[in-house]
Amino acid sequence: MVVVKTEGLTKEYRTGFWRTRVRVLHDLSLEVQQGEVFGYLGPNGAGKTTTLKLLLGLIYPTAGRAWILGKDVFDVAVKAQVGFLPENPYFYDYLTGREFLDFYGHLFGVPYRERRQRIEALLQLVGLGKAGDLQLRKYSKGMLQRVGLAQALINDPQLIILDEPTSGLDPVGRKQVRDLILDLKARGKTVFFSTHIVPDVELICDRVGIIDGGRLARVGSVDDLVGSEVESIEITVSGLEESLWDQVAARSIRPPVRRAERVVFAVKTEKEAAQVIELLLGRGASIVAVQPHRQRLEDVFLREVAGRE
Amino acid sequence: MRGVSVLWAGLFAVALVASVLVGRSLEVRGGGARLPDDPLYLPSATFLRYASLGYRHMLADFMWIRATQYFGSQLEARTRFQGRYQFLFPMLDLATSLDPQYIHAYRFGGLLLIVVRQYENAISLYEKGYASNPGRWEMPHDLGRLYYLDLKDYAKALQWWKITNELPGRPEYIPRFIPLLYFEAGQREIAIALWLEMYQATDNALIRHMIRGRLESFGVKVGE
Amino acid sequence: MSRIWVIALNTFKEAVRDRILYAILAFATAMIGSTFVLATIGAGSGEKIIRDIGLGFISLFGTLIAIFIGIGLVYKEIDRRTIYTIVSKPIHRYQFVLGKYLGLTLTLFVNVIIMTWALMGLIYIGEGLWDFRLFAASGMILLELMVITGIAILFSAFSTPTLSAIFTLSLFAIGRLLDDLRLFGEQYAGDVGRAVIRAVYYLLPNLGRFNISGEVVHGLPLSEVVSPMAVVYGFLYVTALLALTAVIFQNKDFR
Repeated sequence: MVVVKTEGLTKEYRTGFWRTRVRVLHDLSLEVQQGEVFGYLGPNGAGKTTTLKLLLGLIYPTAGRAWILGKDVFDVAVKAQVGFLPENPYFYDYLTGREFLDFYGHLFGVPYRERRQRIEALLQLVGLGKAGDLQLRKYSKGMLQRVGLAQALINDPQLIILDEPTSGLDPVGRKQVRDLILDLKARGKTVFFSTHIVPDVELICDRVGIIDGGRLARVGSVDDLVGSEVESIEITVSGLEESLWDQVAARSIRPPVRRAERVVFAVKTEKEAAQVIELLLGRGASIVAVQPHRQRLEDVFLREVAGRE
Repeated sequence: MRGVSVLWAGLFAVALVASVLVGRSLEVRGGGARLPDDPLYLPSATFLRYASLGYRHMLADFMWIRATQYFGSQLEARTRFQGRYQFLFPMLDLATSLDPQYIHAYRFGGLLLIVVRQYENAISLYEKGYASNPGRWEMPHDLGRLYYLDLKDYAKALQWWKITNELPGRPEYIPRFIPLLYFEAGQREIAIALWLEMYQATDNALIRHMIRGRLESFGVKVGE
Repeated sequence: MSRIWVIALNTFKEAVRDRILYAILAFATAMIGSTFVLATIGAGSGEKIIRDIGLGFISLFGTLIAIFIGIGLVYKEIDRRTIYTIVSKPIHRYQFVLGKYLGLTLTLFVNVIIMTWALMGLIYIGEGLWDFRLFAASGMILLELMVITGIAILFSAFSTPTLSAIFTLSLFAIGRLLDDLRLFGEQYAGDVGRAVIRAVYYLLPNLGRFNISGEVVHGLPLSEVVSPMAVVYGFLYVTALLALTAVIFQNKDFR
């Protein structure tokens, strides 16, 4: 089932003194399937947040349409199934954690008793069990992020939309967020999140959409994008004779690196690897490691983005 | 940086003391021809009406308080200067322009004006009060009293007290004074006729006694 | 409907936890207490003075609260982006506007009630009686505050706090002087001018219609002083303001 669908979504702003038209989103069409984790990847200013805002009814499209769970995004009722965490969220800092979640739960129409249960469960889930009665103005940034996640889940939504959920977090924090997303997927939910941090996408996403300059450049699963071809083979050698250094350097696609008494270099194909290994073995060197590398998502990403400039 | 803080603190103390001393010298030098409570400038009623943005009743109260304070200070100052109370009427006029239904200001203010012998102003104030509050007995009553007691103008007093007599809530001594005023105004016959009427209308022994005494002093005998 | 109430209650909570509110309230109560002092030098006019000044301060401070919290009602949410997590919920945009408005009205209501009771307490101490007529005056003051709040929230939806404050204060002043201004203008205008003035006169809020404090203090009978039509006018005008605010808010892009 298609959970999110956009068709020809376009957004123009009028900015500046002369009200010049600036197009920030061009003809965006994509789909997100039920139960998948979709990573919306793009550099800053690519139009990721604009897309999310269009989906949530925060801004209106200049052209095109969008649907969530089969209903037009302007249908206010459909938002009952959606949870949203904006980037760098600001919240009512005069509320305590519990009051904050209670407010949103109430807004969703979650009945009182169920609200109380969910609030406690969510506070535990995001690791804020002890901070429930503290005013939000006393929360750290990480804590705000976590209570924001809790707010996005208070209605037990089918679709969770997150805008840059890991930005500004330390590696531990990022892992926690990734684990949470995977946990949501395990419960059958759909997660659509935007980010500019490639490894996060690579690690947990089923499918990826790369957006740049307001246009969708590539869409597909991580494997599809990255390809299964081997891009290079990294060889680690010890006991290399000095005289062989130039030959190795000539074959290597990047300058060899010395690490203690070992040398690391890379060749392009398996065939070349076999040749070099045979040569080195013949001269008395030992092969410590042979490591094939596939393309990384980051490379794909950088290539797409660089191509625009 | 504690040293710098101490310097600033010292400057503060010195500046404060200096400003107090200078202020005191200003106080002594001032005064002069002006009495301490004279307002240099009274804004017009229209201006204040606009400027008060609808809070005019409050302003009227302030102006009334100001007027009484002015009166009091002029009273005190009389021993040192010639208090002339020249701003008393303007202040009262302003207060009652801002709040035309301010009965108390008309009445008490009028009294103050009478005390300082500004009879024209008092009449002016009372008449204004009557014009703005034609249904109130207080205004014509005070006018009548003024004419009777201070100005000895019995014809005018009678005129105003006849008006007062028709108004609701007027004191009960008014009708008893009407014949007397007729008498003082030289209309004996009407006076006597009214008294006789009153005599017949009442059961009150004391009043009958008073009326009989009065009539007899005019040489009119009353039957039992 | 309960969604509106959620927002309203939250707005009320925010106002109540805003320390400025307490400062104003304390100041206002102190002012009303000082009228006690003024009354003793009032040379016999004490009763009128207490009531005039007491009601005057209730109105003045209520107006300040209405304007200075009102102009931030919508603006703050947009500017601080707290609006994102609300509009993305299953709530109509007009419900948000209504909720904010009701929240501030509730705050004003509580303030006016407290201050009126404080005034009545002072009067009881001074005169030994409870003057319940004051509630009629307070009620109309509250109605005027509701109109002012409506104006403030309207500007709040599209303008910065500084501009909103200027516009709202201006409309407040004009609204209170509207009858006088109309007379003044008609004296000097030609026929066309007069028609324009009349049109503008009807469009702008006539706040003088809610100003019955003077008459109440003068002791006039309430049946003469309180005009049901004025109450209707007030509610209609508020409805118009809120509807316009809803339209503006509905079409806004939250960048």
